[in-house]
Amino acid sequence: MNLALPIGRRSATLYHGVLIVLVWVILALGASAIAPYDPTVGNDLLAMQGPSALHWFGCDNQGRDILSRLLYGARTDITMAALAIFPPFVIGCGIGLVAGYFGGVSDYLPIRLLDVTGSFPYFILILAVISVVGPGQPGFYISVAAVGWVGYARILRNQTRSLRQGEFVTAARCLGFSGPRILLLHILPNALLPAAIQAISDIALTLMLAVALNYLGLGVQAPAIEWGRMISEGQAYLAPDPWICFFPGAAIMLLALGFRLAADGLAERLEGEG
Amino acid sequence: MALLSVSHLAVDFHFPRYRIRAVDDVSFTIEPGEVLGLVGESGAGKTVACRALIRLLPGRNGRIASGRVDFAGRDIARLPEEDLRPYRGRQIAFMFQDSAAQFDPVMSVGAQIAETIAFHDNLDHAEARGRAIEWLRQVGLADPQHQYDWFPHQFSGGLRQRVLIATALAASPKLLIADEPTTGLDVTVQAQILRLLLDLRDKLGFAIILVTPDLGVVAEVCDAAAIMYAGRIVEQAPKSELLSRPLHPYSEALMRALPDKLAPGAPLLSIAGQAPSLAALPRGCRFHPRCPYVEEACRFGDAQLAQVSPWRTSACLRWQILAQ
Amino acid sequence: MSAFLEISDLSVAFRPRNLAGWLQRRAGSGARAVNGLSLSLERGDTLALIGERGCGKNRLVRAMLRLTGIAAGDIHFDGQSLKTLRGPALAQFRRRVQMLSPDPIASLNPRLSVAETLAEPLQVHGLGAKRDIARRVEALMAEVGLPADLLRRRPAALTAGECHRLAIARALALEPELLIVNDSLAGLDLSIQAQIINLLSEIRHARNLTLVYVAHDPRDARYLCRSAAIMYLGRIVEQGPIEEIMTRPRHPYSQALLAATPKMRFDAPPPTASLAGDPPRDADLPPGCAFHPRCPKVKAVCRAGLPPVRRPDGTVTVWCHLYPEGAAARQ
Repeated sequence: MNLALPIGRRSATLYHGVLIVLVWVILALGASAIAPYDPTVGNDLLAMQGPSALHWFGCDNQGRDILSRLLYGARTDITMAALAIFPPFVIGCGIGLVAGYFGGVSDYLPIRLLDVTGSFPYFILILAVISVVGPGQPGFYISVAAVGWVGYARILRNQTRSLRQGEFVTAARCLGFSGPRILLLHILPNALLPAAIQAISDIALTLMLAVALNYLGLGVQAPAIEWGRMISEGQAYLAPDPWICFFPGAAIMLLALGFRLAADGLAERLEGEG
Repeated sequence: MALLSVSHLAVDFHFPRYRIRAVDDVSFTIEPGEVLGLVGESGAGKTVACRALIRLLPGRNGRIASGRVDFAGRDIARLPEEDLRPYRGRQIAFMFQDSAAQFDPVMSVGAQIAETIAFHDNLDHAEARGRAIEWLRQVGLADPQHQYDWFPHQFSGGLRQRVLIATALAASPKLLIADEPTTGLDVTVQAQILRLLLDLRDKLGFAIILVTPDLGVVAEVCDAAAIMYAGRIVEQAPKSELLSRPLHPYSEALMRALPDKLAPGAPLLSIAGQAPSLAALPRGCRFHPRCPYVEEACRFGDAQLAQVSPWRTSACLRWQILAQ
Repeated sequence: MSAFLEISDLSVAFRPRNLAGWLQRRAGSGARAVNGLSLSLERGDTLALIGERGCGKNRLVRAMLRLTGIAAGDIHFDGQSLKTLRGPALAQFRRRVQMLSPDPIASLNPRLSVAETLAEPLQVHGLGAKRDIARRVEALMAEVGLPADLLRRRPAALTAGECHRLAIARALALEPELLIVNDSLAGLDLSIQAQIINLLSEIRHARNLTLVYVAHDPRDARYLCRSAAIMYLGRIVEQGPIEEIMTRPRHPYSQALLAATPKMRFDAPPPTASLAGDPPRDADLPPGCAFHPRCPKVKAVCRAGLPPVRRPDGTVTVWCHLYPEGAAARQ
């Protein structure tokens, strides 16, 4: 019986994180119902108007309602951030599992590749990949997949290597289970959790990346509504009318915080159980 | 006069919404130079009871709730932290369970012993080194001059345990608390370590509280033993009396569980069920749900530790019947 | 007719720890955990294999289960060499030989419930349709004394004793003929240990299992086994009926091991350091008798060659140069 109180009481981190993310997802999904104005139609009379009772977050240089644009922009950004996580997750987990289980050459090659990829600055590598495949959403997804698998592969490889020596894998071998069965039904489910937590935490990172690329004009193209583009359009008016950039910036921060909290809370919860 | 006399010691662990009494109403005594075995299964509270003596409870939520710990005539349970510090290590030394975790992995073991000596005795570096090497020789290291500079991972389990003994004894304590010092060791190595502890006790005269789950170890090493079950002591007695006539059904059951001799084909007399969780203790005697002799009184009466003879206690309501 | 399990002149390499070790093993050189060991078991035998850490008992068990390669010699199970087992024959072998892990709690997949743990081997080996499997799972749980309401629990929600029972039930699921208990009970509390020993004894009788009980402490083997073999550094040093070995050990190592084993008697003698130091770790074997560097009775002849086989009274076999001198000193 473990009587010692865990350091740092079990917190509400997970709830807060999930709550923030959930609210954003609902706002994004319901944007067409919630948004008070059409986000694409501007009114010249309202250009650069500050926050008011009618336009809570004010209007941008073309007189479009910033609140409405934020809600529609959330759709693009959440979709990009969440979807971009899957290809590298699947690729990385597959490579890591094979490398960790079989060892030898199947371990050596991915690990060298992993070391090389890992020693380049993340963002520069992304830009390099985009410069090859070209800007736009496909370029974004491909670049994240090409660079992002590394982290998951490393986690899965190490997990698999230690689980493979474990007693329950020996027991499974004694019971005559086949190699693929042991790998997929016994090792994989036990190895996957840490990688999944990493993935949730990484959504915050891909969100930033999506915003940054869109800001640079390398991501979604006009007329799509997106937070990074809102910031880049508003930065010319930063001094007199800061709200044009402030609200998208705050939105990015809040959403990224939500993902990070959710990942931390999940890790904490699982640690407490294990 | 007893060296250490613990009376009605209770230790609570506090959690946000509840508390757990891990050690309840524990009383025992130990004379100078005596070896007392503290026996019990996992979760019985042996380690917590020992750590409570010098208030080194695991975590930060454990507190002594009540009781006295009289050491050499002074109640140290109530001493403020600063006044207790000279007792820790200096008067009462502790060997914790996991020997590998007790050494700093990046410091040579000799330097770690020397540090203890220098701290307690105010010696300079060279003197402390000499004394540390002497201690390593005393615990039976073959080449202490050379092994002084070894790092913990270079020692085998048995040697590490010897070095741990040297570290604990370096401050010349009056009482050594050894928490399962031979768990996980092979039997031949265990015999070496126990022999060493007894030899050093004979030479230096300190008393030992030996925490162990193994009654065989008690039979060979201890002068007396206290048996713990679910946070309480159920019996304390001199070794030979305990082993020839236990006065608590739990001690009896432990003894019969794995006997030295058994008729071929006869089943072992195992105790049914398992020890209760400290969070859900049964009413009355804590052993009654598993006791083969349970009576009506056992289910409700509080089974206090009763003085059976000047040197024996039992917490069984029926000890008089067992004694016949 | 050959024996049920016949181990002849078996050598098994250590688990390689690094590339160099792996290459050495490939080349057939390097240290060996099991070194020229022979042993034979008849159907229904119960053998205790007793040895301390580093004696090679774990590698021996892994070889017996065909979990690791054989460096030299061979193991025959029911007339069939383990070296050549492949495909369906290997699957058949897996059903007939099962092991109880040294750490039964860790041997359970933490993500599988009791029901899933027990059903999986039945499904994999195609033993019964779906409804049939549910019934067999219930029967297995009843056999090891697990209450049926634990069916949906995962190992983390079970006590240590229940985990052990589950591991036993899983090993029995395939109806093995040979069960290897690999030092499984060491971590258990005494009262639970006695329960599990009784359970194993009942099951052994009911199913007429052949049992190999591997232990590092000679004490708990007595209740389940009729014969015993004492191992030291990759070889058996003494073998015979367990009572004979426990009461009159003949090999100097067996004598030291049993002298060091605590005896739970009120007049037990104080502990004696019957052996000095630890056995060498992963080291190359000393020449001659592997025990000679620590043997209290060592003579020149011990360093020279492998100890001869001695059978003093027809039941006990001792591998010692000095016998019967070694025994005489003890009695």
